[in-house]
Amino acid sequence: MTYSIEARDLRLDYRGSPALRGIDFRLAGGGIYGLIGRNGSGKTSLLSLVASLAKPTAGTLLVDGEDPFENPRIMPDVCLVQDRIKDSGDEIWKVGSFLRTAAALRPRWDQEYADRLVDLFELPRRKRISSLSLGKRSALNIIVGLASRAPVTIFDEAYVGLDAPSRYAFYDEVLADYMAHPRTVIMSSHLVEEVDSLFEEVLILDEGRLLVHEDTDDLRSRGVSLTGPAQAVDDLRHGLTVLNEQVLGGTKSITVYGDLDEDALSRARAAGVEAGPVRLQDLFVHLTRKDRR
Amino acid sequence: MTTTTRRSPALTVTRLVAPTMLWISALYLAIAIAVFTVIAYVELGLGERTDESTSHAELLANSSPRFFLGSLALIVTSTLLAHYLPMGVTRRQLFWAGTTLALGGAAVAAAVIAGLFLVEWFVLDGTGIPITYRTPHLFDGSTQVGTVFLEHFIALAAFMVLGWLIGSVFGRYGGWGGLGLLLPCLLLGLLPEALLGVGWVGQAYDALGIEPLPTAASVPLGIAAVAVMLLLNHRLMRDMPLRRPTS
Repeated sequence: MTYSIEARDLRLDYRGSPALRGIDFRLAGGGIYGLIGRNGSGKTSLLSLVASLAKPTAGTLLVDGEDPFENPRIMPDVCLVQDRIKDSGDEIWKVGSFLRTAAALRPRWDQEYADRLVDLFELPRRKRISSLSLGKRSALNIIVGLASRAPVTIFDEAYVGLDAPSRYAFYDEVLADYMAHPRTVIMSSHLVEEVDSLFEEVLILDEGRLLVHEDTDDLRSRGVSLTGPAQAVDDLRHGLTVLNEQVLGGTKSITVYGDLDEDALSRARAAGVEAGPVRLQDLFVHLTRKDRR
Repeated sequence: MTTTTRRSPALTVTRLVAPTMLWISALYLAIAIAVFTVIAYVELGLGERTDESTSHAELLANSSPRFFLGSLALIVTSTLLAHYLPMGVTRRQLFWAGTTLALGGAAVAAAVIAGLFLVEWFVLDGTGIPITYRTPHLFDGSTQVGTVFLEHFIALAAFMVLGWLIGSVFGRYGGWGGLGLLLPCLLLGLLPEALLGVGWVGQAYDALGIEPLPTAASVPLGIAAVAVMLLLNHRLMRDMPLRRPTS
């Protein structure tokens, strides 16, 4: 089961200052969406509205065609996973009772899957959450997010506490479970490099505004990486916006923003320069750079 | 694949929270009863009697239980919102869970107190020590279990809902706003007892020569005052945001 998400001129003020400044987008649902932005860009504010943790100051937000706020049909089907158990006071609970609570309140909870994930992430059921390491707490949150099988599942930087092997196990698990049980998955992160291959569409927020909402491949095609002999690469860079530059011996690699016409590409190939896709991270850094605002 | 079916989230939340509240309250009541039993034994059993009234069940009931339960209720809103809103439970469902917990907690405590009055009567019956009360009550004797329960249920419910309301006010309006609204909340919370004309308010009525309302009017009005506090809680909770750090 998948739900669409639509926002029209969505605004949220927090203590008088705007956290979201009129956002418009539509997610058709049934995909893995990336929400990226710098710290304080409004990612968590936007996701909190989707999960009904707060009410929009103005504008419209629809989940599966309905206002999610205080909606008893929608709210149980939206699972927002944050890496913030400590703030919620849940740390006094034991792992087992936390999972039992989620099982009692999430209508699509899959207990067998939860048990398998507990084994995968080696979580001790009888320990208090407060005694768990940051990584294990993140794992517990992730288990709740995955096993809830909510039609809208949101991971708000919920996996940044995991070590690298656990993070890759999580990415594999998200993809495998999404394939088996398609739903709307939103992943917010600033570890863009690790997760960009999962995203079908990307939303980039900056200072409470939506900068970009595009298909990931279309976004990547906005730039190109050029790798080859340093002199040949330098000859090609004139008039282009360089996002990133690396030199190794006589080889240079640059990432440029903007279209490279066929002539330029032909010249590049002739000079032994290889053209490749741009990294999402480079585009993100470029688009949200302060001097660009 | 095994899936669970969610039945009545409000009741589920009540079921999840109630055991913790019951354990804490039971521990408190056990300590309070033990302390007051020792005081009663020293005063009455060992002949250390003074001219003071003899009911130690009344002494206990008029003092800490209402403040203890009121304090416990201070964290109802913050606890329910922080734990269960992210689990997909609506604020309205959490309000009903809070109402069940507050009124259920008051009912259990009132039942225990009514039982203590009865035990005290049973112990003192035949000893020649008459049971006398310090403050006015709706009941005339400890064996009027229903009336003892009703009076204490209304008083305890008022304090529990008051504690809950104060917690909601602070959650909604922050520290300074909460402080500003504290006095009106306290006055509202004391209103049921004032309407019933029992406890120290009843004592003050006696001293001032004020005639309390008849029971037929005071009980419904006292319950109505509790209901007003519940409604205010609902108004405060219905769109209260769960504030967390943003990124």
